[in-house]
Amino acid sequence: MSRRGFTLIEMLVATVVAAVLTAGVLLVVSGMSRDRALLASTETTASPERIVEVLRRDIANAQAMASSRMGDSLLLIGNGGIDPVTLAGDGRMVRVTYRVVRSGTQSQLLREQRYLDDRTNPRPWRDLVARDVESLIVTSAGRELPVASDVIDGESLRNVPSKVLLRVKRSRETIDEELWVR
Amino acid sequence: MKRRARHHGYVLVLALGLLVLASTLLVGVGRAAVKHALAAKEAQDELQRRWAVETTRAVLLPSVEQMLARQETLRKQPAGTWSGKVKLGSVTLDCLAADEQAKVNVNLMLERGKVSDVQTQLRQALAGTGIAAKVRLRPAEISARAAGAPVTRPTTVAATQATTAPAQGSVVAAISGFGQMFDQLPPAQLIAARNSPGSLLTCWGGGAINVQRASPAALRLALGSRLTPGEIMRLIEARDALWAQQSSAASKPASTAPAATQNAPASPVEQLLAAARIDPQAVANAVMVGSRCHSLWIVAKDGRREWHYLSIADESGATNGRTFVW
Repeated sequence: MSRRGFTLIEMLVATVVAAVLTAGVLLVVSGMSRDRALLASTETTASPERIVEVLRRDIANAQAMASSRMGDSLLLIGNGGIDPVTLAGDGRMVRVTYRVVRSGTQSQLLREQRYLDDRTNPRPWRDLVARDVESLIVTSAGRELPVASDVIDGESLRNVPSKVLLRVKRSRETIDEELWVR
Repeated sequence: MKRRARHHGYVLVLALGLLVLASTLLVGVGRAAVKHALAAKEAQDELQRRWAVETTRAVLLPSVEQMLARQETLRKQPAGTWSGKVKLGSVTLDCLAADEQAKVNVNLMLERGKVSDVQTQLRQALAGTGIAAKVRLRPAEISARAAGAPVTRPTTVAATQATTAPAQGSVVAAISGFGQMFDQLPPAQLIAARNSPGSLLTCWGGGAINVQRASPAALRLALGSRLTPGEIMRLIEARDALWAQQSSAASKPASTAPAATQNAPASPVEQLLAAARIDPQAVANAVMVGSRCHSLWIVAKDGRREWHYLSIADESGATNGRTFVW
């Protein structure tokens, strides 16, 4: 009697309990990984690689640019248009402004776009590039971009140089990147 | 005794539960490791691709004219484009180099015609390619005029070209990219076929078309508003005859070069126009021989995605070179 094995009922109960436990644990784990992925996707806009990639594309497609000495804006004119609906590059001529917007202790980097090839319908829109950006400084081959030689819509612009040095200051890190764009 | 037996049952349940927990944890650790490995591989691939593109561009773009000339010498016929593959390490790039002045300059067409008329001409020229309906010209400067706004040149480039561009074929760059010519046309379609828009149209360079290299279709489109179809045909025949003459002259010793060219007009353009019996005034600033603007398409693929890069080297002074990234 003392050596008897498990009864069929005990085995069935154990299997059912194990199945319920497995399902429960998997549910919790998948929920956690989904939340983590969601969190990561909202954070990808703030990852250093993402910020550099977005800026690299716009600077490479630009014909002319202007950078503020205060490190709070970068103006680009060129064919780096992004369709506001599909978010795919459409190659249209646009005016893109990267702006560091501060509000209280928060600061964020915004990308503003306006079509220049259709002044009757410029379709202005803005998108959040990254949170926690304190300044955006773009220099040409180690020097600050020269003072403007031409003015478009009241903005002073220079041709985009072949090499651009990018510095994005955040509270926890500073992103320094050398971009070859020509 | 019954109590002990029941107790054994719960030990089994506990053991099963622990097994489930352990396996779930191991799966989680495994997935995280794979994710990190994939991210590292992706970063490595991206760096290799970017480096390969930069290297290829730096090497090939300044040499496009020599590559085209060499191809012409080998084939003994005009070559407006060169295509090839470049393999650097594990990265293979498809390259397409072209003489931009062997194509029709849309900006020059816009100087002579209305936007709607030029649009119609382009649609007719691209009929049968499946993308004629996507032609939609959006010249930056003309839009400003239409809106009644003060006319401002679209870029610094446009501002400088007025003083630096050569008199021959100087145009204002109202159109500065394919995105201003077509509605949402993927870059792959721009260079897909032989008669694709990328091989027929341009918006860079001085504006004049290189008659020595341009395709008959490009010559018909570029000069259609200035010359009759018969004159264009004569120009193409004269160009081909000149090619044949040059090829045979190149294969003979230098001393046997044709003496007939001794009294020929000075410039190659005048020589061609004279041979085709065309009044030079009719095509003033619209034709030239030689090129100072070249392009290089680089297409990188990894099986899942394609990256398209277009670089323009312009020595004509009309633009200071451009890069387009899709």
